[in-house]
Amino acid sequence: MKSRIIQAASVAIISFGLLASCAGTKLVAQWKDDAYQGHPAKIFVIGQSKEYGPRTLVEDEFVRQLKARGNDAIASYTVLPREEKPEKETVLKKVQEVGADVIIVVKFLKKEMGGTHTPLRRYAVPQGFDTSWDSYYGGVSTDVGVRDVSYDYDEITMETTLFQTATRKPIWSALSQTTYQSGGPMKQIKPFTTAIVKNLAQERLVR
Amino acid sequence: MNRGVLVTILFCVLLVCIGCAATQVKQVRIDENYQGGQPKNVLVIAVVRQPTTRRMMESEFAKQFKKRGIGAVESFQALTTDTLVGDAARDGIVAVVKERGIDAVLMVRSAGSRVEERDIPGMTITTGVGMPYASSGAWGGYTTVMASFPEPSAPTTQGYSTEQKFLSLETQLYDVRTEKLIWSALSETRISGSPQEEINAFVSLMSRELFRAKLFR
Repeated sequence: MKSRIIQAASVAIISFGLLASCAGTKLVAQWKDDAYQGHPAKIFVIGQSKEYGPRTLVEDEFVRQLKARGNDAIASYTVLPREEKPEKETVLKKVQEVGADVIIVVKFLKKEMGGTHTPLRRYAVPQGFDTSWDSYYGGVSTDVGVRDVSYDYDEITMETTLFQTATRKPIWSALSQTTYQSGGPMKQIKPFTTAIVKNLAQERLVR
Repeated sequence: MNRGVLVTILFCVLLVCIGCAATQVKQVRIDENYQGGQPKNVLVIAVVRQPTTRRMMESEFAKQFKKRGIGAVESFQALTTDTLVGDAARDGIVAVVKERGIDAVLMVRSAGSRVEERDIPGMTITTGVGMPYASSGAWGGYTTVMASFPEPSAPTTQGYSTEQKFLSLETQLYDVRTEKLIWSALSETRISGSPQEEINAFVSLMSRELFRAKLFR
């Protein structure tokens, strides 16, 4: 009985570890202009999306999280026309009007499906020389291992870029991959935003 | 420790490190007749569609040049990614070259990719404890080792196949005055995770190769 519990727990921990290591948002590439030393006074958030709904969700979440950390931010959809991609000059004019010195552009690049398969591995330890002194006398088998694990997942690739309004030059950009198994892409907006904002704070680009 | 032994160990470690490096230089070509003098201000262009990757690569090359006292300009500061493609690309580069006083252009671009498929067979490693089974003769007939514990008697793995991606990159240095290629290197990088993870090591290796050519002295 005891050995079965150990076995089940081992399989559960390893499987959880495999799943957890693949879920969430990771920044696969990051660039920063080392010459930039400023702190944004107001951030203009642009979510580049073909659909208006997801755009507003992304922008709202960024504004919420940035404000929660003590930054001033504004969502572009509140001041720009409801178009997929307004003209560059129209955007810049609006950015200057609202007094934003930094623009953050969140761009959806692609969504892919992936699969992972971890083949079966079994390990057995000879009786009497395994986990503890108790099992030496108990005579239990410690047949532990990794079960055949396979699962499918979706992966969204995004690019987030920070531009300085005055110079119109990029000051930071990152390529991120968000992996998830269930719940749909909309549910990934919050954890994705958290990962990006946290990284911006680590880089001392926002509070 | 004996000095000879220490040197041998260090040499072996170095060999292992070189063997494991993700990027391998396949070919280096130098214009032996180049008499243009040492470049002082280099425009770095990474022809990569993905902007963050392009910025990372260009900034890393620029750092390597600046570290050695050579001026460097990242092309993304002046040229957008779409202007690097097509016939208009040359005009855009020429304009930046004139504007910024560039005397050499370093260009990195893709030279193709390949995928290598490997089949890893399943394995059962039989080891055992217990008494040797002597079928013919006494202790000399040590023919089989019997395990004394119940099944599964040994570590077992299933067979599987893996795909390994390789990306070839061509790094070229042009002299602005003569518009001639003065140095080029063809390399291949093994991609294990995201390709961007290999950028720093790739740039470091290419810079070593480039400065070894003594074009900048």
